[in-house]
Amino acid sequence: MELNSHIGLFRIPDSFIYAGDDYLEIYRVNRQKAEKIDTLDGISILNLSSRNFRDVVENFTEGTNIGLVLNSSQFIFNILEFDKIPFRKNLRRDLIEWKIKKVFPEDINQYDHDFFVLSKKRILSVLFKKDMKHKIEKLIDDSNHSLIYLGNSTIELMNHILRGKRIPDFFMEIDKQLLVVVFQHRSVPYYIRKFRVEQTDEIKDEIFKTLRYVTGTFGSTPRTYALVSRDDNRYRDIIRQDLNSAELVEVPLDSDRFLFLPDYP
Amino acid sequence: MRKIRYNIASEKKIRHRRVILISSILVILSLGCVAAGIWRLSAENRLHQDEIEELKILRGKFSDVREMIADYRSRIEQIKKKWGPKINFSNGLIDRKSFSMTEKLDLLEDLIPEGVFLNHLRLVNEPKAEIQLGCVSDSFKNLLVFYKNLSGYGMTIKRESVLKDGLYRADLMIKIADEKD
Repeated sequence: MELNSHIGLFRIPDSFIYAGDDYLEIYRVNRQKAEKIDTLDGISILNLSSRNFRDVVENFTEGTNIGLVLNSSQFIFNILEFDKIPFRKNLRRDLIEWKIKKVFPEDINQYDHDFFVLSKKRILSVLFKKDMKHKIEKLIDDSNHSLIYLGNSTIELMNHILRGKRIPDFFMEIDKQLLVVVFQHRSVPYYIRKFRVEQTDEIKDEIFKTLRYVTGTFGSTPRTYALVSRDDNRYRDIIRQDLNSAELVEVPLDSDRFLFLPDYP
Repeated sequence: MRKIRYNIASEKKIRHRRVILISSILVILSLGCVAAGIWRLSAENRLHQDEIEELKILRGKFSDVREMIADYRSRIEQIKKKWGPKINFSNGLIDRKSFSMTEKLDLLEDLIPEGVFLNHLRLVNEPKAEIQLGCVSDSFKNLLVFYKNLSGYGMTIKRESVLKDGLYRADLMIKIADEKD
Protein backbone atom coordinates (compact mmCIF):
# COMPACT_ATOMS: atom_id res chain seq x y z
CA MET A 1 0.00 0.00 0.00
CA GLU A 2 2.84 2.37 0.79
CA LEU A 3 4.37 1.66 -2.59
CA ASN A 4 1.02 2.28 -4.25
CA SER A 5 0.86 5.72 -2.70
CA HIS A 6 3.96 6.63 -4.66
CA ILE A 7 3.54 4.93 -8.00
CA GLY A 8 -0.13 3.90 -8.35
CA LEU A 9 -0.09 0.17 -8.80
CA PHE A 10 -3.83 -0.29 -9.11
CA ARG A 11 -5.94 0.06 -12.19
CA ILE A 12 -8.30 2.99 -12.71
CA PRO A 13 -11.87 1.94 -13.55
CA ASP A 14 -13.46 2.24 -16.98
CA SER A 15 -16.61 3.80 -15.55
CA PHE A 16 -17.32 5.90 -12.50
CA ILE A 17 -20.45 6.44 -10.52
CA TYR A 18 -20.58 9.53 -8.36
CA ALA A 19 -22.97 9.02 -5.47
CA GLY A 20 -24.45 12.17 -3.99
CA ASP A 21 -27.00 12.10 -1.19
CA ASP A 22 -29.99 11.49 -3.43
CA TYR A 23 -28.65 11.22 -6.93
CA LEU A 24 -26.14 9.36 -9.04
CA GLU A 25 -23.99 10.54 -11.89
CA ILE A 26 -22.43 8.14 -14.33
CA TYR A 27 -19.13 8.87 -16.05
CA ARG A 28 -17.18 6.95 -18.63
CA VAL A 29 -13.42 7.15 -18.94
CA ASN A 30 -11.86 7.10 -22.34
CA ARG A 31 -8.16 7.73 -22.91
CA GLN A 32 -7.72 9.52 -19.61
CA LYS A 33 -10.72 11.75 -20.21
CA ALA A 34 -13.95 11.45 -18.27
CA GLU A 35 -17.30 12.07 -19.87
CA LYS A 36 -20.61 12.40 -18.08
CA ILE A 37 -23.11 9.93 -19.43
CA ASP A 38 -26.14 10.25 -17.22
CA THR A 39 -27.62 11.76 -14.05
CA LEU A 40 -30.15 9.83 -12.05
CA ASP A 41 -32.05 11.93 -9.53
CA GLY A 42 -33.86 10.69 -6.48
CA ILE A 43 -31.57 7.68 -5.95
CA SER A 44 -29.38 7.10 -2.93
CA ILE A 45 -26.83 4.35 -3.37
CA LEU A 46 -27.16 3.35 0.25
CA ASN A 47 -30.87 2.70 -0.11
CA LEU A 48 -30.64 0.94 -3.44
CA SER A 49 -31.51 -2.71 -3.84
CA SER A 50 -29.54 -5.04 -6.09
CA ARG A 51 -32.36 -5.15 -8.60
CA ASN A 52 -32.58 -1.40 -8.84
CA PHE A 53 -28.84 -1.09 -9.13
CA ARG A 54 -28.87 -3.44 -12.08
CA ASP A 55 -31.14 -0.96 -13.80
CA VAL A 56 -28.66 1.80 -13.08
CA VAL A 57 -25.84 -0.07 -14.75
CA GLU A 58 -27.90 -1.74 -17.47
CA ASN A 59 -25.90 0.03 -20.17
CA PHE A 60 -22.56 -1.15 -18.81
CA THR A 61 -20.81 -3.97 -20.58
CA GLU A 62 -20.79 -7.11 -18.45
CA GLY A 63 -17.79 -7.38 -16.20
CA THR A 64 -17.05 -3.63 -16.33
CA ASN A 65 -14.59 -2.34 -13.80
CA ILE A 66 -16.58 0.21 -11.85
CA GLY A 67 -15.37 2.95 -9.62
CA LEU A 68 -17.64 4.50 -7.04
CA VAL A 69 -16.96 7.96 -5.67
CA LEU A 70 -19.02 8.80 -2.60
CA ASN A 71 -19.62 12.23 -1.20
CA SER A 72 -18.44 12.87 2.31
CA SER A 73 -21.74 12.43 4.11
CA GLN A 74 -20.84 8.95 5.38
CA PHE A 75 -17.18 9.64 6.03
CA ILE A 76 -15.63 10.85 9.24
CA PHE A 77 -12.50 12.97 8.88
CA ASN A 78 -10.04 13.88 11.58
CA ILE A 79 -6.83 15.81 11.19
CA LEU A 80 -4.49 14.91 14.04
CA GLU A 81 -1.35 16.67 15.19
CA PHE A 82 1.57 14.85 16.80
CA ASP A 83 4.93 16.01 18.08
CA LYS A 84 6.50 13.12 16.30
CA ILE A 85 4.97 10.51 14.04
CA PRO A 86 6.47 7.01 14.52
CA PHE A 87 8.16 5.54 11.50
CA ARG A 88 6.88 1.99 11.94
CA LYS A 89 3.41 1.55 10.53
CA ASN A 90 1.95 -0.55 13.34
CA LEU A 91 3.16 1.93 15.96
CA ARG A 92 1.72 4.75 13.91
CA ARG A 93 -1.62 2.99 13.69
CA ASP A 94 -1.73 2.33 17.43
CA LEU A 95 -0.96 5.96 18.21
CA ILE A 96 -3.57 7.30 15.81
CA GLU A 97 -6.26 4.92 17.01
CA TRP A 98 -5.47 5.82 20.59
CA LYS A 99 -6.00 9.48 19.76
CA ILE A 100 -9.14 8.84 17.70
CA LYS A 101 -10.72 6.83 20.52
CA LYS A 102 -10.46 9.89 22.74
CA VAL A 103 -12.75 11.91 20.45
CA PHE A 104 -14.78 9.21 18.69
CA PRO A 105 -17.57 7.68 20.75
CA GLU A 106 -18.25 4.59 18.66
CA ASP A 107 -16.37 1.31 18.30
CA ILE A 108 -13.60 1.99 15.81
CA ASN A 109 -13.46 -1.68 14.84
CA GLN A 110 -16.75 -1.28 13.02
CA TYR A 111 -15.11 1.17 10.69
CA ASP A 112 -12.67 0.93 7.87
CA HIS A 113 -9.91 3.15 9.19
CA ASP A 114 -7.29 4.61 6.90
CA PHE A 115 -4.78 7.31 7.67
CA PHE A 116 -2.43 9.39 5.58
CA VAL A 117 0.61 11.36 6.56
CA LEU A 118 0.09 14.95 5.43
CA SER A 119 3.28 16.39 6.88
CA LYS A 120 5.89 15.64 9.54
CA LYS A 121 3.38 16.24 12.32
CA ARG A 122 -0.04 15.95 10.75
CA ILE A 123 -2.14 12.95 9.85
CA LEU A 124 -5.50 12.68 8.10
CA SER A 125 -7.68 9.92 9.50
CA VAL A 126 -10.66 8.67 7.48
CA LEU A 127 -13.38 6.41 8.87
CA PHE A 128 -16.06 4.67 6.84
CA LYS A 129 -18.53 2.14 8.16
CA LYS A 130 -17.63 -1.42 7.20
CA ASP A 131 -21.17 -2.65 6.78
CA MET A 132 -21.90 0.18 4.39
CA LYS A 133 -18.89 -0.81 2.34
CA HIS A 134 -19.97 -4.45 2.29
CA LYS A 135 -23.44 -3.40 1.20
CA ILE A 136 -22.10 -1.36 -1.70
CA GLU A 137 -19.75 -4.14 -2.79
CA LYS A 138 -22.57 -6.66 -2.72
CA LEU A 139 -24.72 -4.37 -4.87
CA ILE A 140 -22.10 -4.24 -7.55
CA ASP A 141 -21.18 -7.88 -7.24
CA ASP A 142 -24.83 -8.86 -7.72
CA SER A 143 -24.88 -6.85 -10.92
CA ASN A 144 -21.97 -8.93 -12.32
CA HIS A 145 -19.53 -6.05 -12.38
CA SER A 146 -16.31 -5.47 -10.45
CA LEU A 147 -15.93 -2.68 -7.98
CA ILE A 148 -12.25 -1.85 -8.18
CA TYR A 149 -12.38 1.65 -6.79
CA LEU A 150 -14.32 2.98 -3.81
CA GLY A 151 -13.23 6.46 -2.90
CA ASN A 152 -14.24 9.82 -1.56
CA SER A 153 -14.86 13.05 -3.45
CA THR A 154 -13.36 15.42 -0.86
CA ILE A 155 -10.07 13.54 -0.81
CA GLU A 156 -9.85 13.62 -4.59
CA LEU A 157 -10.57 17.35 -4.50
CA MET A 158 -7.69 17.76 -2.06
CA ASN A 159 -5.44 15.92 -4.48
CA HIS A 160 -6.44 18.18 -7.35
CA ILE A 161 -6.76 21.55 -5.66
CA LEU A 162 -3.94 21.41 -3.13
CA ARG A 163 -1.44 20.26 -5.73
CA GLY A 164 -2.44 22.85 -8.32
CA LYS A 165 -0.65 26.02 -9.35
CA ARG A 166 -2.85 28.41 -7.42
CA ILE A 167 -3.89 27.02 -4.08
CA PRO A 168 -6.69 28.71 -2.12
CA ASP A 169 -6.59 29.04 1.67
CA PHE A 170 -9.71 26.91 1.78
CA PHE A 171 -12.08 25.22 -0.60
CA MET A 172 -15.70 24.32 -0.22
CA GLU A 173 -17.30 21.27 -1.73
CA ILE A 174 -21.02 21.75 -2.20
CA ASP A 175 -23.22 18.77 -2.86
CA LYS A 176 -26.80 19.94 -2.59
CA GLN A 177 -27.26 20.51 1.14
CA LEU A 178 -23.97 18.99 2.21
CA LEU A 179 -21.03 21.35 2.53
CA VAL A 180 -17.48 20.29 3.26
CA VAL A 181 -14.87 22.95 3.93
CA VAL A 182 -11.17 22.16 3.88
CA PHE A 183 -8.60 24.67 5.17
CA GLN A 184 -4.97 24.36 4.22
CA HIS A 185 -1.61 25.96 4.92
CA ARG A 186 1.28 25.42 2.51
CA SER A 187 -0.77 22.78 0.72
CA VAL A 188 -1.29 20.77 3.89
CA PRO A 189 -4.86 20.56 5.22
CA TYR A 190 -5.22 21.46 8.85
CA TYR A 191 -8.98 21.60 9.39
CA ILE A 192 -12.00 19.96 7.79
CA ARG A 193 -15.58 20.72 8.63
CA LYS A 194 -18.65 19.05 7.27
CA PHE A 195 -22.18 20.40 7.78
CA ARG A 196 -25.64 20.39 6.31
CA VAL A 197 -27.86 23.33 5.66
CA GLU A 198 -31.61 23.14 5.38
CA GLN A 199 -32.21 26.72 4.46
CA THR A 200 -30.37 29.37 2.56
CA ASP A 201 -30.00 31.77 5.45
CA GLU A 202 -28.12 29.17 7.47
CA ILE A 203 -25.25 29.10 5.02
CA LYS A 204 -23.77 32.50 5.79
CA ASP A 205 -23.90 31.87 9.55
CA GLU A 206 -22.24 28.51 9.25
CA ILE A 207 -19.52 29.71 6.92
CA PHE A 208 -18.57 32.70 9.01
CA LYS A 209 -18.78 30.68 12.20
CA THR A 210 -16.28 28.31 10.65
CA LEU A 211 -14.01 31.14 9.53
CA ARG A 212 -14.05 32.67 13.01
CA TYR A 213 -13.28 29.30 14.55
CA VAL A 214 -10.33 28.78 12.24
CA THR A 215 -8.98 32.27 12.88
CA GLY A 216 -9.35 31.88 16.64
CA THR A 217 -8.04 28.34 16.94
CA PHE A 218 -5.32 28.20 14.34
CA GLY A 219 -4.37 31.85 14.18
CA SER A 220 -4.68 32.01 10.43
CA THR A 221 -6.81 34.40 8.42
CA PRO A 222 -7.95 32.82 5.17
CA ARG A 223 -8.08 35.23 2.24
CA THR A 224 -8.73 33.08 -0.81
CA TYR A 225 -11.17 30.30 -1.51
CA ALA A 226 -12.42 27.97 -4.19
CA LEU A 227 -15.86 26.47 -4.74
CA VAL A 228 -16.61 23.09 -6.18
CA SER A 229 -20.18 22.14 -6.92
CA ARG A 230 -22.57 20.89 -9.48
CA ASP A 231 -23.33 23.65 -11.91
CA ASP A 232 -26.93 23.85 -10.92
CA ASN A 233 -26.27 24.07 -7.23
CA ARG A 234 -28.50 26.76 -5.79
CA TYR A 235 -26.22 27.60 -2.92
CA ARG A 236 -23.13 28.25 -4.94
CA ASP A 237 -23.91 31.82 -5.95
CA ILE A 238 -25.16 32.66 -2.48
CA ILE A 239 -21.96 31.43 -0.94
CA ARG A 240 -19.90 33.29 -3.50
CA GLN A 241 -21.70 36.51 -2.69
CA ASP A 242 -21.27 36.02 1.04
CA LEU A 243 -17.60 35.29 0.80
CA ASN A 244 -16.90 38.13 -1.60
CA SER A 245 -18.69 40.47 0.75
CA ALA A 246 -16.14 39.53 3.40
CA GLU A 247 -13.39 40.52 0.93
CA LEU A 248 -12.36 36.98 0.25
CA VAL A 249 -11.05 36.30 -3.24
CA GLU A 250 -12.13 33.34 -5.30
CA VAL A 251 -9.50 31.21 -6.99
CA PRO A 252 -10.92 29.75 -10.19
CA LEU A 253 -10.41 26.05 -10.78
CA ASP A 254 -10.00 24.04 -13.96
CA SER A 255 -13.51 23.79 -15.22
CA ASP A 256 -12.91 21.07 -17.77
CA ARG A 257 -11.85 18.48 -15.20
CA PHE A 258 -13.97 16.37 -12.98
CA LEU A 259 -12.06 17.19 -9.86
CA PHE A 260 -13.77 14.68 -7.60
CA LEU A 261 -12.71 11.76 -9.77
CA PRO A 262 -9.29 10.22 -9.09
CA ASP A 263 -6.48 11.76 -11.02
CA TYR A 264 -4.90 9.76 -13.80
CA PRO A 265 -1.18 9.19 -13.43
CA MET B 1 1.19 17.67 -0.10
CA ARG B 2 1.86 14.11 -1.10
CA LYS B 3 -0.96 12.64 -3.15
CA ILE B 4 -3.49 10.70 -1.10
CA ARG B 5 -4.45 7.48 -2.80
CA TYR B 6 -7.66 6.53 -1.08
CA ASN B 7 -9.38 3.42 -2.35
CA ILE B 8 -11.14 1.06 0.04
CA ALA B 9 -12.49 -1.36 -2.57
CA SER B 10 -11.74 -4.96 -1.61
CA GLU B 11 -11.04 -6.09 -5.15
CA LYS B 12 -8.48 -3.67 -6.47
CA LYS B 13 -6.92 -4.73 -9.75
CA ILE B 14 -3.25 -4.48 -10.32
CA ARG B 15 -1.90 -2.72 -13.35
CA HIS B 16 0.25 -5.54 -14.55
CA ARG B 17 2.02 -3.60 -17.26
CA ARG B 18 3.01 -0.89 -14.82
CA VAL B 19 4.24 -3.44 -12.31
CA ILE B 20 6.30 -5.21 -14.96
CA LEU B 21 7.65 -1.91 -16.24
CA ILE B 22 8.64 -0.69 -12.79
CA SER B 23 10.15 -4.06 -11.87
CA SER B 24 12.14 -4.08 -15.10
CA ILE B 25 13.39 -0.56 -14.46
CA LEU B 26 14.44 -1.53 -10.94
CA VAL B 27 16.23 -4.64 -12.17
CA ILE B 28 17.99 -2.68 -14.93
CA LEU B 29 19.01 0.01 -12.46
CA SER B 30 20.32 -2.60 -10.04
CA LEU B 31 22.29 -4.34 -12.76
CA GLY B 32 23.56 -0.96 -13.89
CA CYS B 33 24.76 -0.16 -10.38
CA VAL B 34 26.47 -3.53 -10.11
CA ALA B 35 28.12 -3.06 -13.51
CA ALA B 36 29.23 0.44 -12.57
CA GLY B 37 30.69 -0.89 -9.35
CA ILE B 38 32.58 -3.65 -11.13
CA TRP B 39 33.89 -1.24 -13.77
CA ARG B 40 34.96 1.25 -11.12
CA LEU B 41 36.75 -1.37 -9.06
CA SER B 42 38.55 -2.78 -12.10
CA ALA B 43 39.50 0.77 -13.16
CA GLU B 44 41.03 1.31 -9.74
CA ASN B 45 42.88 -1.96 -10.07
CA ARG B 46 44.28 -0.90 -13.45
CA LEU B 47 45.52 2.37 -11.93
CA HIS B 48 47.44 0.58 -9.26
CA GLN B 49 48.64 -2.32 -11.40
CA ASP B 50 52.36 -1.55 -10.86
CA GLU B 51 51.90 -1.38 -7.11
CA ILE B 52 49.94 -4.63 -7.15
CA GLU B 53 52.74 -6.37 -9.10
CA GLU B 54 55.36 -5.03 -6.73
CA LEU B 55 53.28 -6.16 -3.81
CA LYS B 56 53.12 -9.67 -5.26
CA ILE B 57 56.92 -9.77 -5.63
CA LEU B 58 57.41 -8.51 -2.09
CA ARG B 59 54.95 -11.08 -0.80
CA GLY B 60 56.94 -13.76 -2.57
CA LYS B 61 60.19 -12.51 -1.06
CA PHE B 62 58.61 -12.27 2.34
CA SER B 63 57.48 -15.86 2.24
CA ASP B 64 61.02 -16.89 1.13
CA VAL B 65 62.50 -15.04 4.08
CA ARG B 66 60.04 -16.71 6.41
CA GLU B 67 61.04 -20.09 5.10
CA MET B 68 64.68 -19.22 5.59
CA ILE B 69 64.04 -18.15 9.17
CA ALA B 70 62.20 -21.36 9.89
CA ASP B 71 65.08 -23.33 8.35
CA TYR B 72 67.65 -21.48 10.49
CA ARG B 73 65.60 -22.05 13.59
CA SER B 74 65.43 -25.76 12.99
CA ARG B 75 69.20 -25.87 12.38
CA ILE B 76 69.80 -23.97 15.60
CA GLU B 77 67.67 -26.49 17.43
CA GLN B 78 69.65 -29.34 15.95
CA ILE B 79 72.93 -27.71 16.95
CA LYS B 80 71.63 -27.13 20.45
CA LYS B 81 70.61 -30.75 20.70
CA LYS B 82 74.01 -31.90 19.52
CA TRP B 83 76.22 -29.54 21.52
CA GLY B 84 74.01 -28.86 24.48
CA PRO B 85 75.29 -31.69 26.69
CA LYS B 86 78.91 -30.86 25.88
CA ILE B 87 78.36 -27.19 26.61
CA ASN B 88 76.72 -28.00 29.89
CA PHE B 89 79.61 -30.23 30.85
CA SER B 90 82.14 -27.54 29.96
CA ASN B 91 80.21 -24.95 31.96
CA GLY B 92 80.28 -27.30 34.91
CA LEU B 93 84.03 -27.56 34.65
CA ILE B 94 84.39 -23.80 34.40
CA ASP B 95 82.19 -23.36 37.42
CA ARG B 96 84.37 -25.74 39.32
CA LYS B 97 87.51 -23.97 38.20
CA SER B 98 86.07 -20.67 39.14
CA PHE B 99 87.12 -21.04 42.74
CA SER B 100 90.37 -22.44 44.11
CA MET B 101 91.27 -21.83 47.71
CA THR B 102 94.94 -22.55 47.21
CA GLU B 103 95.18 -20.08 44.35
CA LYS B 104 93.78 -17.40 46.63
CA LEU B 105 96.25 -18.24 49.38
CA ASP B 106 99.12 -18.13 46.89
CA LEU B 107 98.00 -14.73 45.77
CA LEU B 108 97.69 -13.49 49.33
CA GLU B 109 101.19 -14.64 50.12
CA ASP B 110 102.49 -12.59 47.20
CA LEU B 111 100.75 -9.51 48.53
CA ILE B 112 102.28 -9.64 52.03
CA PRO B 113 105.38 -7.40 52.16
CA GLU B 114 108.48 -7.74 54.36
CA GLY B 115 107.82 -7.01 58.03
CA VAL B 116 104.16 -7.96 57.93
CA PHE B 117 102.87 -11.18 59.40
CA LEU B 118 99.42 -12.73 59.38
CA ASN B 119 98.15 -13.73 62.79
CA HIS B 120 94.64 -14.58 61.79
CA LEU B 121 93.00 -15.78 58.58
CA ARG B 122 89.49 -16.80 57.93
CA LEU B 123 88.65 -18.12 54.52
CA VAL B 124 85.32 -19.85 53.77
CA ASN B 125 85.61 -22.63 51.21
CA GLU B 126 83.07 -21.16 48.85
CA PRO B 127 83.14 -19.11 45.66
CA LYS B 128 82.97 -15.35 46.07
CA ALA B 129 83.73 -15.65 49.74
CA GLU B 130 85.27 -12.73 51.62
CA ILE B 131 88.60 -13.25 53.34
CA GLN B 132 89.00 -11.94 56.85
CA LEU B 133 92.56 -11.55 58.03
CA GLY B 134 94.44 -10.11 60.92
CA CYS B 135 98.01 -8.84 60.51
CA VAL B 136 100.89 -7.48 62.56
CA SER B 137 103.53 -5.13 61.16
CA ASP B 138 106.81 -4.04 62.64
CA SER B 139 106.35 -0.56 61.20
CA PHE B 140 103.57 1.70 60.04
CA LYS B 141 105.38 2.04 56.74
CA ASN B 142 105.24 -1.71 56.04
CA LEU B 143 101.59 -1.75 57.08
CA LEU B 144 100.87 0.95 54.53
CA VAL B 145 102.62 -1.06 51.84
CA PHE B 146 100.38 -4.00 52.71
CA TYR B 147 97.29 -1.76 52.46
CA LYS B 148 98.50 -0.58 49.12
CA ASN B 149 98.91 -4.15 47.85
CA LEU B 150 95.41 -5.04 49.03
CA SER B 151 93.77 -1.86 47.73
CA GLY B 152 92.74 -3.60 44.48
CA TYR B 153 90.84 -6.28 46.36
CA GLY B 154 88.08 -4.27 47.95
CA MET B 155 89.90 -3.93 51.24
CA THR B 156 88.03 -2.81 54.29
CA ILE B 157 89.91 -1.92 57.50
CA LYS B 158 87.88 -3.15 60.39
CA ARG B 159 90.23 -2.22 63.17
CA GLU B 160 93.67 -0.75 63.57
CA SER B 161 95.72 -0.45 66.76
CA VAL B 162 99.22 0.05 68.11
CA LEU B 163 100.56 -2.63 70.44
CA LYS B 164 102.67 -2.08 73.57
CA ASP B 165 105.86 -3.20 71.99
CA GLY B 166 105.50 -0.72 69.11
CA LEU B 167 103.97 -3.16 66.66
CA TYR B 168 100.97 -2.27 64.48
CA ARG B 169 97.99 -4.50 64.32
CA ALA B 170 95.09 -4.44 61.81
CA ASP B 171 91.99 -6.51 61.10
CA LEU B 172 91.06 -6.41 57.45
CA MET B 173 88.58 -7.83 55.03
CA ILE B 174 89.31 -8.35 51.37
CA LYS B 175 87.67 -9.96 48.40
CA ILE B 176 89.61 -11.82 45.78
CA ALA B 177 87.59 -12.43 42.60
CA ASP B 178 87.00 -15.99 41.50
CA GLU B 179 89.03 -17.20 38.55
CA LYS B 180 86.25 -17.15 36.08
CA ASP B 181 85.49 -13.52 36.93
